[in-house]
Amino acid sequence: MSAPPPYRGMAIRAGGLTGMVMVLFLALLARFYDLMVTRHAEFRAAARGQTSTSRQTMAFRGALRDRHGRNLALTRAWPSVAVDPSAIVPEDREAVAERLSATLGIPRRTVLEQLAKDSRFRWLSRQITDPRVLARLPALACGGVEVREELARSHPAGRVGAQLVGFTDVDGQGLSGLELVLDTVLAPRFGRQALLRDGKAGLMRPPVDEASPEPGRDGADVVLAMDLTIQTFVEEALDRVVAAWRPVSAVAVVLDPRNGDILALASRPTFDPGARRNVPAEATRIRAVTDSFEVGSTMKPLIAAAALDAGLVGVAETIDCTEDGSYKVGKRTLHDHHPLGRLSFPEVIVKSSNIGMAQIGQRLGIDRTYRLFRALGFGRTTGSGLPGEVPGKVTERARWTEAYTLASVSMGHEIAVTPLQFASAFSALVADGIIHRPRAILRIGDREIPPAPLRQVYGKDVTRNVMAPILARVVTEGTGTKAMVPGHVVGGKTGTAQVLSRGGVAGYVASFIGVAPMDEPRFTVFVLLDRPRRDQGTPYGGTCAAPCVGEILARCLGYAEIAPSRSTGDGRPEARARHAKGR
Amino acid sequence: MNGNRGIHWRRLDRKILVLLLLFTALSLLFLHSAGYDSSTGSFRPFWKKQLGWAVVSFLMLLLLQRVSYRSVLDHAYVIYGAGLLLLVAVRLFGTTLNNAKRWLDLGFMLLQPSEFMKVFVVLTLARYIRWREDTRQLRGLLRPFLLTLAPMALIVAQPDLGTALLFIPVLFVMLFVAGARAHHLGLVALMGILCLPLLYFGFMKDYQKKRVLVFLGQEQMSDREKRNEGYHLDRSKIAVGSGGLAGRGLGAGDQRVPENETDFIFTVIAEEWGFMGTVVVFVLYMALFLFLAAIAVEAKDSAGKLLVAGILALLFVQTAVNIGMTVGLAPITGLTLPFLSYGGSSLLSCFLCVGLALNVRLHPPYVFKRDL
Repeated sequence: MSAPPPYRGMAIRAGGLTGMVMVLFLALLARFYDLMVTRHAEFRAAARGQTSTSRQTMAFRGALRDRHGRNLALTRAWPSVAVDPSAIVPEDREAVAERLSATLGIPRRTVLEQLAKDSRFRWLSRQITDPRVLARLPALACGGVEVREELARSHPAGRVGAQLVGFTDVDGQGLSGLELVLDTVLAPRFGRQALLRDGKAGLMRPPVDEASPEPGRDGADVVLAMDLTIQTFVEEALDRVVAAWRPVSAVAVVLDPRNGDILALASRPTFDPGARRNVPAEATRIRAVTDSFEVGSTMKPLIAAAALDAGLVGVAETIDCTEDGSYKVGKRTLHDHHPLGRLSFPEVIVKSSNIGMAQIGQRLGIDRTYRLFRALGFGRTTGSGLPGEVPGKVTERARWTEAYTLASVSMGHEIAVTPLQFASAFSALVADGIIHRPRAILRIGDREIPPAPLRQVYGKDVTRNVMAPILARVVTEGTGTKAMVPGHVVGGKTGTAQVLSRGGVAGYVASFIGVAPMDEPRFTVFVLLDRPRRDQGTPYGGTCAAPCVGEILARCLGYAEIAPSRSTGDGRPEARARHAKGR
Repeated sequence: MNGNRGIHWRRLDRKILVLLLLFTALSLLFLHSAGYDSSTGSFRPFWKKQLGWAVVSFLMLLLLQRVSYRSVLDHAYVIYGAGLLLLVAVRLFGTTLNNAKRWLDLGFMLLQPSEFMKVFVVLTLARYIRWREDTRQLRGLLRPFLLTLAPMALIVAQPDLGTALLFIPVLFVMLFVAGARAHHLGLVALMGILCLPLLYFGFMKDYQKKRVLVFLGQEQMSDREKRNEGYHLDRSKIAVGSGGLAGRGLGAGDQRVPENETDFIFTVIAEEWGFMGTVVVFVLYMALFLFLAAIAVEAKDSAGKLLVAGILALLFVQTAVNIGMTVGLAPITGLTLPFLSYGGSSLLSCFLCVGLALNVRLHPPYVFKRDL
């Protein structure tokens, strides 16, 4: 067979093509030069933008604790489970759903519904706290299932101290109570962790050689002056009194008169801080500071002590409270509950005579009374730092009249005070005359907040030797007998103030302030019921508030392990009597 | 006909073998880099598997020298038929990865028949065209085109447009070297270009269209495109561009372009060794092509010339398109980089290509009676 000769130009053509190949290759190289050398900076910058990123690092909101370190609100990270439905092929759905449902304890149907969604991310179970589920979680990891840590605020004390502690939104932002006012100190500072990311975003790692540029910081822990045990006593006592008397609202305050510590602060209505949804704003108010009231007779000892202190009335003096139970001040006629006749100074307080108090008020005079109120902190906020605090109402000095203002305030009217203001002022009366700024917080982070004695309002002698026995007599023989605590000397004062509306008497504000033990006061307890029900007659402070205070005091005294002490015959505590004899 | 006894092993081209060793070393080096998994800090063992394939490929290359390319060419049609059968088998029993059905699962490896079909087509064309003079006429171009289009159609259907389109320049080069008239080839090319809209609107899938559009408008890529269809191109250019003159150092690259162990291995080289490393790799390829061209020019018979020219065209186009696509000079297709990309089929087929070229130099040419 004869093969034709090869085409003669083959070698030339092959050579020519090779030349072309080389030229093309060099052109390609030129493109590389352009990208890698001429435009290097541009691409290097783009590369940095693509490879370095950062992510927020976890940091915890500070905890709120009671004075003994018991947790009231704290943030913890809880695992949450989510799925990426797009990463699970339909054939696997049944099997995956079976496993997830068994592990998480949620219905298989619910899981299947989520897996059927056209989405890259669906939550299945959030903030898992069930220990059984937690134990099973490690075995869960598989493609398309993600376990992430989520921060959640929990409230181990539940409803106890709800208003004071307050609550946060789902992102951990304080919405009420101390959570709100202390938000800036409690809030964590989230750090940023630099990360290197590669082509498949999602694969990230912290750079080996770089420290995190912004370390995060947990929020500061805050220690409250509140004592969880006492707060629990108060909550329980309030529940009972509210159930019995159904007031519009009720407030209870427990202070340590020695330093102004707010040991407990509660009000009704209340709420569950864990519920977060459907919390009525009404229920979150700390009524001890947001509401002010005319407390009525409960105020009387504060005025009387001032007159005594100024030497304007003597302890042994008798005051004519009139035979017919009425007394004219200017054009105004005052009445007592029933005619009292001539009363000694202590009896004016023990029997709570309006006429007697009007006369003592007249002796004290407008100037001194007004200055007393300023000294007791009425008419301005206490500086407790609690949210929504109002100053209360003290009539402007220029508008005081002897017949109206002075006479009224002597009986605890025409002056509106917050329960906290009042408890704080009354504490001064039993703590050697020294008023303290109410202290809600003992410590923020490492910073101690010291007690803040503000000023000496009353002389020590008057409070210890005169007022203390009188207040004790109110409980032993006066209007406050229902606040008695067997074995202890309790002092206090009742108050029942009319709430007037256009239609007449709309209701009463019934209150009682009680202090114990009178020889060395540890607890000032103030309970105020706003418009309790009247179907069983007038709700007096002595009938509805006093038993509540008595209950709280009894439990506090037991809790504080204070030894019972006997009262001497004249109502003065035994310890005082010995002290007086020694002089 | 003194087949094996006539082998002059001394004539085996050492320079090309050294080049192949250099390529293999480079490949292992950068596959190690590309295998870094930053999520675990460990390396995926691409390089180990590739080393195994390199050893096998070398042995196959040497083994191939025992048979003359003439006998291979004599069996070209059988080989071609076998290749077509394999492609049909892929169509029927193939394994699907990344939405493409390109592989046959042999148990110990995933065989990619299209990688070998490229070589088979070169063999077949060399066999068919070698003694013909009708390539000088337009009519004579018809059969070579049909021989090429049949496997192309099967490969397009996988879909693997990149590999399929590789056949066209190879065919043109072989016809050109065989003596086809330039204006005939130009006419065919013009017809092909006129058919492009038909291809675009009729046959291309959406993702393929998007790639073309992104390729054409790459300098004005939107952020959305960078995250989607333009993702590979954008990442790849950034990886290459961030390499700079000297590179970031071996193993120090942090731009992970997906598939950087296979189609985008060049981005790893460019990023870590910079422009200087790029030049080194270019020089290696140019040296290889020049050696192959020399064999083609020196070959004593037209079959050998055509075979080596086809192989040269095949390797060059694949190299140029692969490297070009990393810098936006070619649309992104699934073409591997000869000798460097990870993958057994690809490596073996490239070694076989070079083996065939070496064979042409090693073995005596077809002898024609007229020359005796």
